[in-house]
Amino acid sequence: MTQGSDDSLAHGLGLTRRTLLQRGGTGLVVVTGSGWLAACGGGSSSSSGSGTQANTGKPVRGGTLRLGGSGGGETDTLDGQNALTNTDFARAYALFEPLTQVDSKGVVRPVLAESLEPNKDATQWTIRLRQNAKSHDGKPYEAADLLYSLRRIQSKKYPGAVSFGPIDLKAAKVMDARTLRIPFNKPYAVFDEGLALVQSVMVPRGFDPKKPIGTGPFKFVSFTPGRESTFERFDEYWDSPKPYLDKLVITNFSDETSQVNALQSGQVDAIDYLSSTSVAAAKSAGGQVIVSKTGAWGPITMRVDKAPFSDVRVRQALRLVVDRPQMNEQVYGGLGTTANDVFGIFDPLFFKGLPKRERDIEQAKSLLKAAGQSDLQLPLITTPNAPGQIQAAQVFATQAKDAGVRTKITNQQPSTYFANSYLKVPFSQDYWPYQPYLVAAGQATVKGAPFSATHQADPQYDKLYQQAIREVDEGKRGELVKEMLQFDYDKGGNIIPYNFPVIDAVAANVKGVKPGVSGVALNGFDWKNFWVES
Amino acid sequence: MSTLSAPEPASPAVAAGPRPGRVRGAHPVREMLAWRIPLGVLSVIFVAILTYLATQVLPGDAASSILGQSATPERLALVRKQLGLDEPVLTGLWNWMSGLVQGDFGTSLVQARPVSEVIGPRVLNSVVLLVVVAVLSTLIGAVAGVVAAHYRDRWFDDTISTLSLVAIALPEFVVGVLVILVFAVGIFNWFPAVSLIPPQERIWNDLSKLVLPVLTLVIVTTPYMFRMIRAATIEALQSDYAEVAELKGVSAPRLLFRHALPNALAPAVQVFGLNVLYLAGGIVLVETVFQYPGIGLALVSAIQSRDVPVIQFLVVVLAIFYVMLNIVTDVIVLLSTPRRRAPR
Repeated sequence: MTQGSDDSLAHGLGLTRRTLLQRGGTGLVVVTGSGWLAACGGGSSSSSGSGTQANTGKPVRGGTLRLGGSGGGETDTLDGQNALTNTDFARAYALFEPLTQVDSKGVVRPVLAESLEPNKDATQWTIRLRQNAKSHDGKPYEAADLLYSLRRIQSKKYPGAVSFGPIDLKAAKVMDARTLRIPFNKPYAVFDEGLALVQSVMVPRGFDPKKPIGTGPFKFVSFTPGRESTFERFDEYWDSPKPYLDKLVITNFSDETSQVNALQSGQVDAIDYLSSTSVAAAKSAGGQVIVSKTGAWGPITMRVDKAPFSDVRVRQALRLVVDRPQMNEQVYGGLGTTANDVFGIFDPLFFKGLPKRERDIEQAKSLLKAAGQSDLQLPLITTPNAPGQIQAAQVFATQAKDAGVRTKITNQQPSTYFANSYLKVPFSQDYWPYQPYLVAAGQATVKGAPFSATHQADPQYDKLYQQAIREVDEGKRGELVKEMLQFDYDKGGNIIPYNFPVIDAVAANVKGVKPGVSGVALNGFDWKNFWVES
Repeated sequence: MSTLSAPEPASPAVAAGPRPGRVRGAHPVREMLAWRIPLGVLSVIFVAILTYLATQVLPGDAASSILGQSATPERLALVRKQLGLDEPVLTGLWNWMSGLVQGDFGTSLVQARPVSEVIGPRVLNSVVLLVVVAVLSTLIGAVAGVVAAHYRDRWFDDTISTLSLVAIALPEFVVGVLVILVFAVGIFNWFPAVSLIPPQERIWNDLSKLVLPVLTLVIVTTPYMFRMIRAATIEALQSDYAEVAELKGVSAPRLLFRHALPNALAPAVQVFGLNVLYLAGGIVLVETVFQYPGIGLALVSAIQSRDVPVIQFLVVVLAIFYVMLNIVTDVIVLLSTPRRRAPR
């Protein structure tokens, strides 16, 4: 694609035969080029066990960690509440902290908050902040800062606002320096889970994104969008003696082979979001590879309000054509996990009793026949937005052929896709990090959800959702979640063939890196726990 | 000397530029400039307008690339308004052009900083790379070409000619990856594999980061120079005046560098021009392999994020450079071909 834009410019500016031949020739092979070095490393479907190795010994203070981060760009920002790219997330977790966060096992735990308590009917939440939490300017982080922060997210319509529920911030009250009481217009029992988004990081009053300060383990030093940012240790961090590192450098990489090369030649100490083909190359220079089996999901989305997907039999048939182990093998080298068309798998309330969905071409064919869609042709519009996304579409198209379904894949550039196709086209793909079930459902599958690619609006499902988010009792909430999951499994608009792996690699001397289920690299950019051996 | 060569060999320069000499008596160089400079200015303006219109028909805009996966219709409308993307196309073009006349290149849509501040350091990085590579590849190509012409069809010529064919056949990013494998991560661990330059640093402060990108581009560009010089020198050596010089007892180096090489200059300048054009804007793949922060990558990411002012700035800078370079090479060709310099 880059080649194309470059060439069209050359056209306007005097293309010669030499450049034509030269660039036309390279254009043909550019597709195979990016993974070339990695491929040279040899077959690399071996799974890694070396995560444990990165985990031993007694932490020591000092040193610098340099991350070669993928996925950033010119749109990079320091405003953690408006973070979009992977390097934005990396910066956000260095500078700021959310009230709660998904831990490495998928459980929501308080971070900047000491506690979050609902009242009896969940119409009011009381948030108590950590006693010694300070901003980088040395001032204690107070309830008034928290209120400012929440209001900022809401008034700027930042992504975090979608999980605030029926919040009434106008009536929120600062009880004392560390305590904020927030009323809700309707009962909302999952506020604590909804706050675990990366964009729900908290900032102090008068926050200026040009000189960002937060309560996170690292202070801002410098930032050039699309290039590099640097941070230094925050000495008054509440979780002393953490962080261990003195300095943190985050550099953008636009190419995976270069990421691996940089790790091999010692120019960076950590690289993130690799594909399975890079595992061998990353290990060959003594690097440790951390493979995280995550709850992040990459659905193929079907609009249930549009033909042919409005017929539940078509949706069921398309779920049955997928050979999930094969897809996991071909797209992720077997490092991901096969999934059952449901999400939120690490939620403590998740119902584990759903039968494993196996491929069944005959059943799929008969369902399609019954629906009068034996000769189904589907345009699948996708974009390279997540690791393996395009490859998964291609594997799907091949597998669907066995049931007589012809899939035509259109691969759009991200800016084209997000302007014209995202959440609009009937058949597409999406990308979600792991979130607790009800939080994800509120964003993806209930009626009017802001990121609903399926456009599902089912009264029965929505009623269950409304009951669940009001239910304070976890046992009863679990029952409701189970019913919702059963609905997703039977009739939902998402084909979820896998939970994709997050593959990171660090140099031999980097310690404290654990695998995590969140789907965010390096265990949710867990900077404060990393240290380097001298 | 040149009076000895009876039939005029067709020079590539004739095909490249408009034929000079319409008005009898005017100096060909002055005459060419009088014609080419206004045409060049027109070309640049035309390119600028065309690029602006092209960015308008691209699907998506800066707002959708800023918001990405969080692009709900509500937020898209909000950001579009903030960025002024809702104004009509012609108004936008007019604002941009009137700003340009006042030396204001506008503000990057996605970074909210002046374009010159965003792109300036990258232009500098590209210029350094371009100059170093152009000088090295010209010197190496010229010397190797002349020597190969002298030892024509002997082992030195055969080896070097074959190697240059191999180098031409290899795509530039393959050369880049091979160079990294040999000199950075595979066999030797001599140089950094990627050219990470902290934004506040300049590339010349750490020359080791320049070595592999330069080596790659020298391998990619030198063969063209080498082959052209070799062919032109052989042609010159076969001419009558070279034979006369040889019969007079002129030494081999003097024959090659004093008599043959100057006659090979005109085609060499053309190749030099093409190499420099390629280095100025077409090395995106090499920049990607080395993560070298030059303008090629900047242009690609500006197009991807639909950052119109940055696209415009880069395209106009490149257009001016291309036009100037074409004029300069044509002038040099004219000056280095005495028989065409005289007024007709």
